[in-house]
Amino acid sequence: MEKLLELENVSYSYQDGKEKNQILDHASYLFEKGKIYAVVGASGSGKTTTLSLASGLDKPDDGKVLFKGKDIQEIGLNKYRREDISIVFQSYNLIYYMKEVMSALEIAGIKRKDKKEYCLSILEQLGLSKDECKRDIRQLSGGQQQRVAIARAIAREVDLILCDEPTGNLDEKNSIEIMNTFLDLAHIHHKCVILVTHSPTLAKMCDVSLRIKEGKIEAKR
Amino acid sequence: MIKNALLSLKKNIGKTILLFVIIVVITNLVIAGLSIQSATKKSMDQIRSSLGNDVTLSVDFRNMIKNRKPSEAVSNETSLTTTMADSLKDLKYVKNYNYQISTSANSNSISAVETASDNSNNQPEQASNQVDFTISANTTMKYLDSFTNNNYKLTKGRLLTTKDQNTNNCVIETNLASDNDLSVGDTFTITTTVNDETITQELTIVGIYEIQSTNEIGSAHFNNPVNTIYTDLSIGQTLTGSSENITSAIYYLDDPENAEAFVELAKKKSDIDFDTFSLDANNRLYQQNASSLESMQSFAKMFVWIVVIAGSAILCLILALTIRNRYYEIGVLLSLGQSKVKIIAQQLIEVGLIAVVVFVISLGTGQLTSHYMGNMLESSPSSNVMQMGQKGDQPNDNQNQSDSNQQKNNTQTKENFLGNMMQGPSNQELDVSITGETVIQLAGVTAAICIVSIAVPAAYVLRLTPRQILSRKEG
Repeated sequence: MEKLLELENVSYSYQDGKEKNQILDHASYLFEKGKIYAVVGASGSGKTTTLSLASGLDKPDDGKVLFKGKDIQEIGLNKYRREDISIVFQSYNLIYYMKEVMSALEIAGIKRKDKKEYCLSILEQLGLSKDECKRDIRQLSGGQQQRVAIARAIAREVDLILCDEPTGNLDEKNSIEIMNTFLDLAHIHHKCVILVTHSPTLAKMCDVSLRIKEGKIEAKR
Repeated sequence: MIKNALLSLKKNIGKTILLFVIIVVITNLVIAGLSIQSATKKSMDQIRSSLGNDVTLSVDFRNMIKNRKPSEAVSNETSLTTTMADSLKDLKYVKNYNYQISTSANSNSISAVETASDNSNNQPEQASNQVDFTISANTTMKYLDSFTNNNYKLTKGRLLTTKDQNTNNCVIETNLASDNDLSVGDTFTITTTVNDETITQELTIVGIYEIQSTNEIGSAHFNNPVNTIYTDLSIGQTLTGSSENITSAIYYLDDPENAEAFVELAKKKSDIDFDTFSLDANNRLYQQNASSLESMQSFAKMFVWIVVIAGSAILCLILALTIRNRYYEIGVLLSLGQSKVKIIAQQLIEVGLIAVVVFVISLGTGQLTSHYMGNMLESSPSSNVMQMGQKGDQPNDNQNQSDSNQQKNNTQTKENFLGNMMQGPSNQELDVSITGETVIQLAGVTAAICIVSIAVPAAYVLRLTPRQILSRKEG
């Protein structure tokens, strides 16, 4: 398997009043392409922090995050987020005035002549009808909105997709459907998918389940 | 970015309308302030221009009276000399100059024009000391205000120029000429006494002028401008018995705006004692007439600043409040890899698009606001702009030249002109029309307000990491 993302001796802490909370303490882990990873653990254990550091939304106090062997700070965090990764959030994070998928392509600087058709085809693959695609995002259901968010991530054609509790707001049926999409992305489209989840069911569906314990990342399987 | 900005404006229509209304109010007030500022400046420039481009060097009797010891007489010995006057004539800004001697004389060969006021006060004991004529000796008559303003009009012959230097040529008033049956080419003699010695001077008439303004005729005897005889400077020197002394030197500048700069330069470059001599650029008259305009201008300036600061603060506040709702959007855009500069630029475009529409509308509505505010200011008790022209008896700074009938006439001419200017129907209001300069200033001010009101709240948000922004939107 091709290695894609590496956390190398990453430390991260935050100040809570006078108390210093050490979330990650020289944690290391290597993520490979074609695999789906679940990051599990109790609230406050550092799941979202790990995802934020891996996605360049925050910087580690110490250590490095390497993407394809290169420090993401050297790549440039903006450039890294724009060109190399996609993030899917629990609360979808769709900007309701934007034509989400197309705007994501524009921000990433992806130029396609068939941009509109391409975006529609991705949305349709994820189960949205043509009529639903034209609708105002605020009029779509939670599951549909999350599909738009995933479509936004897929359309960018990046190797690494990071998801922060992507099914947290969805019912079981929708959750399974979304999860299957991620599995396809990893196993068929050869992407690396890292998802933070509370659900043991979803964690079991993943290739690797990771737990954050005492500031270290441990693989359960 | 523009597409997204347009979409954002459309989707957040409530905020768009609120910003639109606030920017309309701000720009209208700014345009009113700027228009009033520019109108008052224009009026002040007009006043400055109407006062002429001349600066007069003469003995400062006002200062001498002020500085004398109690019960001490003011010295008559102090005189302005041609050497002093020459030291300024080649300075920067000076285009032309005229040296002037004002004196008086009698005549055995012609008689002065009698006026009604002369007859009513015709007491024998006064008549023995009475002088008949004012002699106004000049280097040239070309720039004298009375003639350039057409208050005096040449009817026959010509005016005296520098070519008449050291000649006995003269120019007289038409009533004096007709009363004495004189015409161009005729000669007459005048006499005066200097140091108990009687001096007789023959003069040849080369020009006859007519006084156009009737209110200038009627002063008593020699003060009456009809009894003024214009001669070359050398005649004045002969009649005063001094080849060096002159009454005043008038410098005509390239631009009235340079009057103060010239006075400053003269003080720096010459050895003239400016406690004894004064360079008068009609400043006192200017100050009297322009003081209310100056206060209006400073009010307008302050008004613009207050509107700009308050407007920016209000816009900042609104955008800061609305930016809380945009944490979400900013966070998402950052997570998608959008640069901070582009995020600010998009917000700037949003406000900028509203501002552009408002700017165009304000060019029309701003005119109405400016007129309304202009009228309000003009009708306020503190503004006496409209009354200035009616003050014909204003004291002037030329009292130190009270022996100069010419100067008196000049000042009267200026005051009358000012009066006409202020009383004229076309100048009843400040000209608050929007000029190109105002439009450019408004564009600058509007742009500055937009930039500040976007930059401040944006800087507050963008100093945070994307993760912090995204986590804040949840709360």
